This record gives sequence, C-alpha cells and structure tokens, in this order.
Amino acid sequence: MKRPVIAGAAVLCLLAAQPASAAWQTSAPGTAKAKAGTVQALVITSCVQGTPTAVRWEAVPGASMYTVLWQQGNGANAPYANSGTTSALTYSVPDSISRVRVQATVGTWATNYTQINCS
Amino acid sequence: MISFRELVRRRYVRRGVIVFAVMTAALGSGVAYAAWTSSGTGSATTQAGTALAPVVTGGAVTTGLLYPGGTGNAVVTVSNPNPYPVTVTSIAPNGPATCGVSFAERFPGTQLAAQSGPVAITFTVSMALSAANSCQGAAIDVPVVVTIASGTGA
Repeated sequence: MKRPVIAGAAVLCLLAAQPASAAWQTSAPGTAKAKAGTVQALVITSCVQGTPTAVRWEAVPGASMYTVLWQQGNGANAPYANSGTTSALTYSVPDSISRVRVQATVGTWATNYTQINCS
Repeated sequence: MISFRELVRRRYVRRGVIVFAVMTAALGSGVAYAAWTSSGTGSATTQAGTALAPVVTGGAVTTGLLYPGGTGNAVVTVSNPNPYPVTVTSIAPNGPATCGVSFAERFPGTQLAAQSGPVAITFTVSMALSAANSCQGAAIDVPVVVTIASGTGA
C-alpha cells in the first residue's frame, strides 16, 4: 500500500516543480495629461446707488468668500482703493459710488473681478 | 483455481502498471522507444527577440477636471510595438507635476494587442489644496513611467 502512495507523491512533486514562466517586461517614460477646471464667472445682478450703495450678485459654486472693490472717488480712472469681504451674496458699500467690482474665492482660486456701473 | 500467491502477484503487477501510467502522463511527453538509435552533436541557431518599450503619450481629458483639494482624471495613451500581446502592469509617477498634481502607482492591467495602436488609459490623480490660482483651466503634464509585460495574464 505504501509504494503507490510514495509514487503518487513523487508525481505530485514533479508537477509542482514546473518552472515558473517569466514575462518579458519593459518600461518607458512619458507624460499623461490632466486638466484643471475653472471657477465659474461671477455675475453681479444689481448695484443700487445710494448711501449706502447696495450690491448683489449670484452665487458661485464652491465659493467661500466674495471680495468687493470700489473706487476712491467717482472719476472714471479713480483707483479701486476700497474693499470689503463677505460670505453673503450682498454687500452694502457705505458710500455712493459709480462702479463696483466683485470677485469670488474658491479655496485658493478666485474668479476675475466682475465690474458693473451703479445707478 | 488461482492460488493466493498468484493473486498477490497480480495485484502488485496491476499497481505497478498504474503507477507507471500516471508518471508517464505527468511527464507529459510520453516515452518513445526505438530499436535503432543514434546520436550526433551540433548546434542549431536561433535568436530571441528583444522586448521593445511601450510608446507613451498624453491623452485628451474630457471629464474629471481638477480643483484644489480634489481628484480628477489623467489620461495616457500606450502603444505596444512588440509582435506579441502585452499587459500594462504599472503606471508610476516619474517626478513632480505642475499645480500640485500627484498620484500613487496604478496597476491597470490593460491588455494591448501585438503592435497595437495607442490605447487610452485613464487614472485618478489629485490636486493639492494649495494649487495656485494660475492653475485654473491649465493643461497639466503628469510625468509617468509605464511598464508593460508580455502576455495578457489570461
């Protein structure tokens, strides 16, 4: 009875000892492409001139803060030297102004400033 | 009437035949037997081919745009110049990408036919939360090393 068992074990050993096949392998460097998104442009819906001047705009997806700029004086070339920030969709500028700019911030990204004339 | 001794002898013969048959089958090649044999020495010449490296280029990204702190898609196209099918076993980083884009090694297992044209493989990458504002809308190059291995793993 022992001999067949030993013979069987020997056969199994032969089968198990088959050499592993090695694949041929090569590599090459290259460049994958990815693309960054953009923050949706901000749209100012109204700027009602007065004291204060009320500015409203539409929400920008993902925006955590909005920055409002207004001019120092009402000349066309007056610098946008005043600013305020808010997380709301409105802002009250304490002066009667002719133009306003608003920018949205999404994380480390921001929209370009959108400008509108107040009336 | 068969004697007990004869029965035992036949049993051992039968076992021997079975063991021989199993071993022969396992070795797979069968056993040839020729009455006349002769041998000689010499050498045949053959030349193994060389595995050619894959051709790696960037692909077009149509979905999965990247935003700070988020994940998106990167696309690489791989061609197999070899006359045998291969599997893309690895896509690994090969240096820093711009805009804080990074990824860990991927093991796509994509199968390419022999001498295939470019096949696009999409994998996930992430963008650092600190990605600069100037990265908005940017096309980003992601350096990679693509490894292929012969066979399809089937």
